[in-house]
Amino acid sequence: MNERGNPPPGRSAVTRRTILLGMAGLGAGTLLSGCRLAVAEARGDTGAGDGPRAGGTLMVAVNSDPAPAAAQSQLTTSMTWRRLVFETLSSYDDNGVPQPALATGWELGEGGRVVTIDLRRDVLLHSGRPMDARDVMYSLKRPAEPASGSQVRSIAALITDMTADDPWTVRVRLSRPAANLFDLFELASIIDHESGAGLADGSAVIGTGPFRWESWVPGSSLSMVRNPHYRVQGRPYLDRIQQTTIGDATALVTAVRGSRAQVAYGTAPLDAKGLSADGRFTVVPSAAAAYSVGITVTEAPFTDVRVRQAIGYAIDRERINSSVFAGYGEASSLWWTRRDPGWSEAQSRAYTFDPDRARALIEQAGAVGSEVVFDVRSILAVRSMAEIVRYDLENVGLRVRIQALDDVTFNQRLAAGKLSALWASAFGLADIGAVTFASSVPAFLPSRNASRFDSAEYRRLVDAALTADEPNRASSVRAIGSFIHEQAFDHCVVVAPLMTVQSRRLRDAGKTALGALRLDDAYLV
Amino acid sequence: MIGYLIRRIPSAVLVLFATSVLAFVLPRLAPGDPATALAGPEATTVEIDAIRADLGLDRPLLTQYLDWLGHALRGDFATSYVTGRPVVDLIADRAGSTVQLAVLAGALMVVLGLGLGLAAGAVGRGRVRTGIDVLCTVLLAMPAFLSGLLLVLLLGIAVPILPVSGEVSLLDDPEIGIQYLILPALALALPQAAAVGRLLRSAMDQARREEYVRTAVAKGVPARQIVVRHVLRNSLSSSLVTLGIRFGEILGGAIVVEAVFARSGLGELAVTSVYQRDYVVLQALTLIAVGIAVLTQLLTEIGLAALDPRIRLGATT
Amino acid sequence: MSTGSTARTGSTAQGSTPNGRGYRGALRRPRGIVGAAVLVVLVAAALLVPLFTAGYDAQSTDTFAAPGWEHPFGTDELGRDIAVRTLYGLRVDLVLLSAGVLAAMVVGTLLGAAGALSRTAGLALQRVLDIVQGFPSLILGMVIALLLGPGIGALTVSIAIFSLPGFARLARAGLLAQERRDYVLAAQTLGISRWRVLVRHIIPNTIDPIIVHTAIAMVVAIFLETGLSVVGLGIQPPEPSLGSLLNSGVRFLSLSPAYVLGPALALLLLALSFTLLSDALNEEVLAK
Repeated sequence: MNERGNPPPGRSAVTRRTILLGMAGLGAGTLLSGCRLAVAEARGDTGAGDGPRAGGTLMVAVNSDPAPAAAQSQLTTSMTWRRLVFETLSSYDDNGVPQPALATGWELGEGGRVVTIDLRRDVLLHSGRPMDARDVMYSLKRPAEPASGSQVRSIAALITDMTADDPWTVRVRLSRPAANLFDLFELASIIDHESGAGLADGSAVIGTGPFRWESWVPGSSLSMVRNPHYRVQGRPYLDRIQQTTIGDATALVTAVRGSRAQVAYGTAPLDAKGLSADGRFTVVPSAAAAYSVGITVTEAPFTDVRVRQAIGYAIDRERINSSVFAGYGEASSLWWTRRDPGWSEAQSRAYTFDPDRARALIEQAGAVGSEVVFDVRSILAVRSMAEIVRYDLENVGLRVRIQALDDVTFNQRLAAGKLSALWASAFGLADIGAVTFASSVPAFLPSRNASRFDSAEYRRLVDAALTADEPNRASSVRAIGSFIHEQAFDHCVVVAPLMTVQSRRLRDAGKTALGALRLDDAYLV
Repeated sequence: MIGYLIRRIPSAVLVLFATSVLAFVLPRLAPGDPATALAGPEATTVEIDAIRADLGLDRPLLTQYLDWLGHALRGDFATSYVTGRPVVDLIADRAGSTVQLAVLAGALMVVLGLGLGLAAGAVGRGRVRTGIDVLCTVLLAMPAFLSGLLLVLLLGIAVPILPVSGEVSLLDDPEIGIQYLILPALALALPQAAAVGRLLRSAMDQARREEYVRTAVAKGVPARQIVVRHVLRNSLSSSLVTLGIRFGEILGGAIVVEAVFARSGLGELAVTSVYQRDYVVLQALTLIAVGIAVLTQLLTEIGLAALDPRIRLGATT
Repeated sequence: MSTGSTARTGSTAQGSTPNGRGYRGALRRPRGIVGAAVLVVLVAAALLVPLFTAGYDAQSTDTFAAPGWEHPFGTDELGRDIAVRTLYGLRVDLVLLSAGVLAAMVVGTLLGAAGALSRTAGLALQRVLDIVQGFPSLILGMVIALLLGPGIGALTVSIAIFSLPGFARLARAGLLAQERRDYVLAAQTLGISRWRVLVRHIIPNTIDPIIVHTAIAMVVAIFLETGLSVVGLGIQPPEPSLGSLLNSGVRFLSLSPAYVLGPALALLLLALSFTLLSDALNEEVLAK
């Protein structure tokens, strides 16, 4: 070899180097052909099924890590497993009528102040013990604790006394009748009272649902296995559910596209739209959330109600719905959905896109050129919405500066009432009904809300709705709606569902009225 | 050698101690705390305060720090505020993923870097050399995020050979696991490999000009022998220092790569813990990171001392 | 005896042979030319863009438009032109990098000098720098962003802190190395005042490595900005930055493949120009 490492002239071109390279190539080729390709394995085969098949592992990719303590909350940290591991006393059907689940029936007495619940006798907890009244009493009381983070805490707080006549009958006494009692039943998962304390760190998550909570690696994965003693014979069909937490929106979509998961829960609407074109997937809407712009009424220029109302007219809701939510949502001025009997088409259109009117109102109030700080919760959809809102508001004469706050900082300021003049957030309770909404969401609480809006009239209206009896419920909700519209301390922009992308290999997957994943009858083909 | 080591220990301990205080204080200055994170978006101040008291976060800071220090000295890092799990468990669960990634990336960095450097340095001049130089420069200028993205496009989407996200542990299933590791490890390794390659190349260039090399050439020693026995050996010491720094940067870059490739490793744990203000997890992770940095530096110095007697015997900087 | 220019080419920076042709020489090498040219073009584009456009937030309903004459890289998720936003992002990044790295250079050099003058200060400095360098950069960046509120301010501070150790160590090592050199001893023997030696000889020789280091520090700072944008604590919307645009581009890769090209190209060119300049400067000024 000469200095450049080439063979001396005259020698054959086959050098030691070439032979080595050739062998390496051969070796690599053999390896590759013989070895399993991860991508091929993840795809699996798609058989045309003819009916439910038992068995199989379902892989679900979720964007929020499970928090066992949220077992009785409507939060993204519990929506994907709550109804798999736990069940509730009753659950709303498509018409909003509560249907018995763990309860067989109920009776309201004393004008709604006493509720007698009859329980099923054939239910076993995952620990093996039969479910009884003690579990129910524990589970109805728990939402009132701060650690539960439950949105129905205000209803649970009404419970003054509970007794069990026998192991399958519970009598609950309330301090006053509750129009939204069944919201409590809907969210209060029935938890094993003996191990309830284990929810805090996930050491014991014991319920009665079709799947058992098997193991949880925080931030990473959750495994649930089939409950062989489930009260419904022959269900569930699936053997195991493997849930992986993927916080990054793009990676979430990639997981399902690469067949690493059959379900992606909580995909961004634009991503879901992109996947809807792929024949392997269906896009299913789940829990609805109301995306809104809140106003702190004690901050100038929003002390003037005209400026507050102007915001409502300035926002181009349709553009937000199409650009940010891929058209999956609905432009709406109401924070609750059609599920609430008090919903009305007219009210949902109370504020239309009318920049001229907005400009006029702002001029009248002498607020042209006012500088406003806009606190924005750092969720993708909220941020994008906020950018459009800012654009619209600048268009009608305000100067807006966005301040994107991470979740914890935002929550802290929200709770303390220390947000800036304008803020943008999302409320995941749109399906739960106006009454629970107005009495549990800190931004709307009459007594003390993030907008610092204080009004005796508002308190009266919400109280009336809370205690209204059946015939008056719709009108009392409408009254709240018009009041908020008039006072305009908050503007709903869009009500849009969280999107779930599902592989067509998964059949009969369902969800509860509040959008929690329900897989009792689901099977894989 | 032992004496050298022993002299360094007190300052290492001091560094760790100062880091622990910094890691304790800094996150607590940010708004919000684990109680706010746990309480959720619909909590009132009353509820948040109740949770805070439950977690013991309303105690005086000094008490909390000393309590934590006690834990740390005993070897456990206390319990995570947000998940209620021992921090040691949380870290152990994720460490495997990050270690696998870092080790493979480190190995790739060394192999590719040496390869690139050797190829360029051995050739000396010409188009091949310029080509490699340009490649190295471009790779160097790319953040791991970008190279990760390119790799995803090329090897994951355009030609779907390798999976573009997720992970399977090597311990569970080596054959499949390594396929999940390749893209992220490459993404991490490439910029560092480029840096190593360039350093080696320039060190070799410099060594090449030295007297003893010219003598060897004059004596008729084969080129390969010159490269390996003389040039390379003397270039290694500067490369060694770099390797230490490079490995540190791999660990740092792992966070971004983990996000892009949806791997749940220590980087992802760190990001989540900052967002949820899980103080004790952050304290533990920071301490470990600084500990590794100090250790790497120590090892590099030992390595250098082994290669160069001048350092061992004398001048302290 | 020795003038400024001789000091640079004669007894040059530590451990070098007097081969370097200085800064001007660096600009004559191909790397230097290309690097400087690219940088000049980028800076010019960034400076001029407000004159030709209506700002970075010109929203429209034409979202994810394909690249064409009107929109060279298409439009983004809110209908804004990506090329325009990329240039504005470049502006933001240039400001960020300059402020942050320059701050680090000034403060770092001062600290390093202090560390060279006194032995205890030097040891203390080394240990503090160990902590700063060992501290996970992303955690530090995130915490600072949460403390100060995310945005340009927090990013500048993060970049400054992150880049500081490099400059400090260089300054200190440089000064210490110079102190031992022959010409310093010679000057002292001749009775030339310490101050004069410092100003006319030591400083010019120490500054070179620091200036050259600036180029690489810029590249590293770019990476930090990108990293922080990935985890969502970068520049505030609607203001663009190369990192956040890149992030969005990756997010919407399937909806608009061209989206990511703009910021990726700008980022690459920016980093490349600094890398090339650093190479050229390394070879000519430090004459390795």
